Amino acid sequence: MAERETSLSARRRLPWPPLLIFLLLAVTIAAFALYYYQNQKKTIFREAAAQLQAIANLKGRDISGWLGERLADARVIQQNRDRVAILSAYVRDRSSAPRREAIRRWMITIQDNYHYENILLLDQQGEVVLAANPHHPTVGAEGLKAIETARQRRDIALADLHSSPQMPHIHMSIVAPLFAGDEAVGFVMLRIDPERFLFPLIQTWPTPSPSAETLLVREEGDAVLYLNELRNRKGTALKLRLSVSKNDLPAVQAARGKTGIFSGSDYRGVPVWSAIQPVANSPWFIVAKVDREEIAGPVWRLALVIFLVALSLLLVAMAAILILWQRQRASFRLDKLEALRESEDKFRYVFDNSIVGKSLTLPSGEINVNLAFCDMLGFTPEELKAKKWQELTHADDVAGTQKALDKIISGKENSVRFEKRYLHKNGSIVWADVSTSLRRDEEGKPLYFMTSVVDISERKRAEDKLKALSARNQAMLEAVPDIIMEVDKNKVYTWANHAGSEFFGADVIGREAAFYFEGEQETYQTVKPIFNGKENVLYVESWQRRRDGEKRLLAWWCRVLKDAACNVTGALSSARDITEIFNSGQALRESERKFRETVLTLDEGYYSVTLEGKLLEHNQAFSRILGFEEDKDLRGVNLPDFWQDREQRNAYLKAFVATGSISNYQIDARTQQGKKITVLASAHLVRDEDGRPQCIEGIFMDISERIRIEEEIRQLNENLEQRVLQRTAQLEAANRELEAFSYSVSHDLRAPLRAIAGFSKILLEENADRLDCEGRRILGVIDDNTRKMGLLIDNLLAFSRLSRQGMRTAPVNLAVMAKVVFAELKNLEKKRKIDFKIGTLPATGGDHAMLQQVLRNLLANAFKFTRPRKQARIEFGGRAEKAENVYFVKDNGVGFETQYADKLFGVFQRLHSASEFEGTGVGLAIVQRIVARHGGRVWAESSKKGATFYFSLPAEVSRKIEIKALME
Amino acid sequence: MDAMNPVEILLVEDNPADVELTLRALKKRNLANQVHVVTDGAQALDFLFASGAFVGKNKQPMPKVVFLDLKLPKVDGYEILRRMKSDPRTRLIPVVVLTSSKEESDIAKTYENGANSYVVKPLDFEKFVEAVSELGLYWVLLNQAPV
Repeated sequence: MAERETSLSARRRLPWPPLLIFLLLAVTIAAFALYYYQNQKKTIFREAAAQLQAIANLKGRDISGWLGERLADARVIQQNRDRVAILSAYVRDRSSAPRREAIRRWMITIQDNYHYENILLLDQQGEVVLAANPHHPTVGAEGLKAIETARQRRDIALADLHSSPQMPHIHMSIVAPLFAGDEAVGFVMLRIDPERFLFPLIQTWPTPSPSAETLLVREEGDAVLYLNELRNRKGTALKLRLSVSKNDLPAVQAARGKTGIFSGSDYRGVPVWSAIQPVANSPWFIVAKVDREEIAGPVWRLALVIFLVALSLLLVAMAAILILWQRQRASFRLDKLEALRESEDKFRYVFDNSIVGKSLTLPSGEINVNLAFCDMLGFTPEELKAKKWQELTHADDVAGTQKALDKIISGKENSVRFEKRYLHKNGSIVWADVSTSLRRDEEGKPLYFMTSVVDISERKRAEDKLKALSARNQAMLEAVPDIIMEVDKNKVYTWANHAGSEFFGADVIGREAAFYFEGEQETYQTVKPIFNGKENVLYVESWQRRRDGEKRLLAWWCRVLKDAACNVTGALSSARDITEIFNSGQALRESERKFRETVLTLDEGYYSVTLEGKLLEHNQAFSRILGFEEDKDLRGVNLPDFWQDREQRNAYLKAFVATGSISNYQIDARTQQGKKITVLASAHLVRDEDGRPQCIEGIFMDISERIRIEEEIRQLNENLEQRVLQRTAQLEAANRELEAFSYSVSHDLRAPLRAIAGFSKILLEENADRLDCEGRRILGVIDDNTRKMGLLIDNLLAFSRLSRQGMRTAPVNLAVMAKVVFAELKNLEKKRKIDFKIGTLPATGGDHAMLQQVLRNLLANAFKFTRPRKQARIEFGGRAEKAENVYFVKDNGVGFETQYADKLFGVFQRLHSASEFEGTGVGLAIVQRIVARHGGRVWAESSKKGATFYFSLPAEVSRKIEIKALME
Repeated sequence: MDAMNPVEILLVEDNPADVELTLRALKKRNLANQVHVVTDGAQALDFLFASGAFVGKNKQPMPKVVFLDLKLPKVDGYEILRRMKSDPRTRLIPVVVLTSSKEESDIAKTYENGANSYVVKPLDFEKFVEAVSELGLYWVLLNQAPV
């Protein structure tokens, strides 16, 4: 530390850098201050000069303006002819008192308005004729001189500032001559007192200043005459004359014609700055001046301020630099100390915290050990320090260790490295990699041993494990049933496992692989990439000769063997006897061939393509449908583009890609010749065992013909529908016509009939006496027939009404209905003996009124046709069948001829004459129509025993109605 | 027509045979003198509303009953019914529809249009006489119209 102190103090003696910085700063500040001072000074003087000049200009202009006005007053008088005439007349003849008075008033007016001291009217000789102010009537020498000048110049003349013994105060006059023709008759004199305006104007100064003043001078001979009273000296007006030889004097410079700023000394000899200016229209010069002292005052103050500021700046800078310097030096010193401490710490830290065990052994025997070393052997540092190394070493390694240490101590080696076994505190062995070096001083005396100890127990254990593993692997290789062989790079067997020796024989080692080949083999060619290092693993099948001489197919997996430098040293191969598999594989191939043949002869087109679209396989149908020659082999070419529609193709591909298969997809395709066809296609993605897509397989069939036929059928159907619609429309029209017809019948046919009946009746009533028997009979016939026709018409209308009436379906009890109808009919033929029987009747439903009509007609028929029988028998019965209920009305009447059975139900069809049985032939037609409207049918049978009329009603309708009724 | 006997029955009928038969039937009940016959729908409207050939006869009292055939030339019976029932002057006159149609739809339509009775003309003259004269009497004598 002491050494370091001295080196630091030596450095303090020459603090060059801060000194240099300070000097530089000082010079800069001084330069700035100087520059600033000069600049400010110049500005101050410039401003003062400008002010002086401005004042001089202003005053000069004011004075000149004022004088000009006065001269103008005179000129106004002189040029007013009337005024001149009046004045001249008075000068000549002064007798008129009123005129005098008038002139005087005028003169007083001018005097008052323009602030003249006096206005004088003078005669030719300059004698006063009249005066505005009668107190100072004299003209004086200067006045007379001006009169003379005015007379000679015939113009206005000026008597400059002057005084005289008669008029001691300073004044000036302007003389205007009054001319009558060539002769000056008189003069008007305007007298001015400068104290009134001129001198105050000169003496004022626009700014407060202790020394500034303005003065007016004129040149007189070789002197300048000061015209006004001065600030610093009294009694100077028209009195102070200073010689023009005094060049310093601003007034002199003015008289010499200089204008502008002049720096000299004034009448007092004091240095002044002045602005000089001649006054226009006059012999005067104006001088505005101020003492240099006054201007320089602020400059000095400024200089002082600048100096003080610069000085304080310098002081501050100096202090700052000193402080910074001190601080810098202190931190530098700290850094040095810190670095040293850190270095020591680092060493200590490395020593203590190294994961490598370390010990430092002094010749004295004192041992320093780190924590890693302690941990390794399980002792505390204190325990270890008390031990000798021999106690810590495995008994077998003590000698070796001693030998190694001797090598260093003898100086043969600087350091030694060896492996040894330590004894752990718990008695276990710790393997260690030990490096020891001896540090000596300059004389070569040993200072201390430095030893690094790495625990390699783990490594040792791993090595042992590896050895065991290797042995196990060997055993495994021997144990596997597969043949495992090793060849060198010349394909000579160098090792075989048990299975290998079993297969090839014990003498296989040392033989080349080819020795065992059976027949021509491409095996060497196949495995070439292994031996030139291009492939690591290869599969090859090869026929080889077994020890017993049999030819076997071996499936080989060959793996390259390389040394550390990646040079091929040989190969390790495992082989399996696949002769049996091969044989069974042949059978499979046979079945595949058959399958293929089947596929090739299919009517559907079959194909398989690579994922890139190259045809792998196809059958003849494929070629035929797509318009290729049937026998042409298209394998290897791209799947032809048979699409008509791009979008359809994209949709197909999308669907295919989504699921990997597609079935019965209808495609608008075209053949090679461009013929449009429709095909139904199915395809699926073929994958290998690992699920990787291999190829696409598909079949398709040409369904163009089918589509065409379907289209035809569809059109036929459409036409049919059209026709049905037409027919329906025609039918509806016919129905409407029928309606109109029946309406017409009911009205129009009935009217004439009524007339016939009515009038024949009238004839019978009113002319009965005129008619004979025959006539009455004929009228009776007419009446009879009209009735029949009326009945016919009514029946016909009822019949036609049936097809138009709406149906109201409801459950119907036929048995009750039949009883009611029978009673009605029996009532008409009370005398007859009729046996009426009602059998079992399946429940049914329908329009009540209509079904009642059916029963009425059928029963009425039965009544009618059993009339010849003494004992009539009528039976109403029924039975349920599969889809319908059948009802019948059976009688023992006359029956009908069965050959005309089909005419029974036609309108107006009668099988009996009217004389036999009355009737219109509409009743059964009505029955037929009502039953048909209910969805049933009617038929009739007849025998000698009588007739049976059947009608059926659909069971379904009945059931529906039943359900409906139940729900209600 | 006798001006002293005001019309009590207006018979609207185009078939002359039916007219004669009807008149005969009414005659039997001594109603024939008060019957006025028109043979088409237009005439019927003119008579009822005093227009056309019947202008100026509006002073005549309205008939007490109208016998109306449905099938008429020019204006049919339904239209006459409708016009009569929508006019305050004729709204209250009873109308007996005489027709040969038995069609239910015709009957329903007639009543909808405001007919008071509906008579199907029977083929039997005697029945016809009976029906007409009874209706005539009923409406003319018993059911005095509020005129």
